Amino acid sequence: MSDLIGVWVGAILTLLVFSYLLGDSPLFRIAQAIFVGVAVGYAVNVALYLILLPRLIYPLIDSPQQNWHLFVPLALGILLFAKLRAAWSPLGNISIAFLFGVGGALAIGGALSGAFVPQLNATILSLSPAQNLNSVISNWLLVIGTIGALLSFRFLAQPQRPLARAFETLARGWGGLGRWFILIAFGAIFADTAVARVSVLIDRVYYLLHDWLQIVR
Amino acid sequence: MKWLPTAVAIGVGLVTLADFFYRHPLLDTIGTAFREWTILLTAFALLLGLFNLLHVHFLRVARRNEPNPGYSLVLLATALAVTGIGFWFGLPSEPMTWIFSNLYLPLQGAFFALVAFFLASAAYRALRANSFATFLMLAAALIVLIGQIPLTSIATQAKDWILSVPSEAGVRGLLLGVALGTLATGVRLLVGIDRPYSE
Repeated sequence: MSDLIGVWVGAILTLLVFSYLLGDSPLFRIAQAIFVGVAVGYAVNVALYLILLPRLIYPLIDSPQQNWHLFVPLALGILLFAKLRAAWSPLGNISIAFLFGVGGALAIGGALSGAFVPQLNATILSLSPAQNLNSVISNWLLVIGTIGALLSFRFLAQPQRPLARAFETLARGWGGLGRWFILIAFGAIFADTAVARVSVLIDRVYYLLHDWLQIVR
Repeated sequence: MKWLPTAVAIGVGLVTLADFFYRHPLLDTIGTAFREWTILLTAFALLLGLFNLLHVHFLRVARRNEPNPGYSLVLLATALAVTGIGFWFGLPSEPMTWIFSNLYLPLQGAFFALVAFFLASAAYRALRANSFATFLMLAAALIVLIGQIPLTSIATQAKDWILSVPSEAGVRGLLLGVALGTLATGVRLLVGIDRPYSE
């Protein structure tokens, strides 16, 4: 019985969302409000049951002397709620500063070891014509495209010295070429996103026709 | 006391960064503790954000001159009901699984599916812009889309080539740019030039 009610609820909510295809309507707005409400309620429970209770509250209740260091995040967490009142708001800055400090450091480490070094390593390719033609062309295109895409985000005023001006002209031309590579990348990302979304759409339509209406077997 | 948040951010950030690059037992212990505290603080921040959202919608319902308070009322009622059910039965429970499977998943799926229509509309509008840039982008998109269908090996090869050469180069350039931007922003935070926590 609960499964049947569940299918009906799910189907009605899906139709409420799809009503947006006919225009913005109160039905769609209600679906939006329900979605945010459910997400909020679920997120509160996730934060509480999966993070705060097992990692902070229970260890502090069970053995406070052994887990004394957990009083620091507890204090910082309580200070964070000072942000709710304008007069006490500066007290919450310490907690925010802690988050930004750790976040900034992890971002530097992550950007270096997770993106910068691996991408740079992958771009160090052989441009020697001794290999087969396909590899030579692909490697040249990869190197020219990567540097060009990076140069396309370089915005500087035209320098006065002739050598610097020549370099700037070259960088601008190369950057313009790099923009084409970026556009091709955007096209590929667009296609991948479209495929993913159409797959979800097929799943929703199948849910309506198979699980709810039981027209399709 | 205005210096305290800056000192906390710089101190904590430098210790975490040192732990990232050097192996030392003391640094490891402190770094692990800092990361654990960050997870806990993030949970507190999430609760604060959600509380603020509910407060804003409560005010919209309470003030009689706000337009469409009904949606805020639906949001509040749903949020409180789901929170209450979770508190009463616990998170890994049958009612919460039912809510996740029959409310959250269908809504999330339907909202994601809706984007397919917006993408089609965006592609049509881009075609009408009639420039070389949009032609290039849509041609790449079309080849990648057709290449997903196992019709001919030429289409699949063309898709594979686009994904592994020109698209790869563009994405790599973007990723390197993002990494450089992240590095610059992180360094500005750690030396105290940017202080978003003091606002």
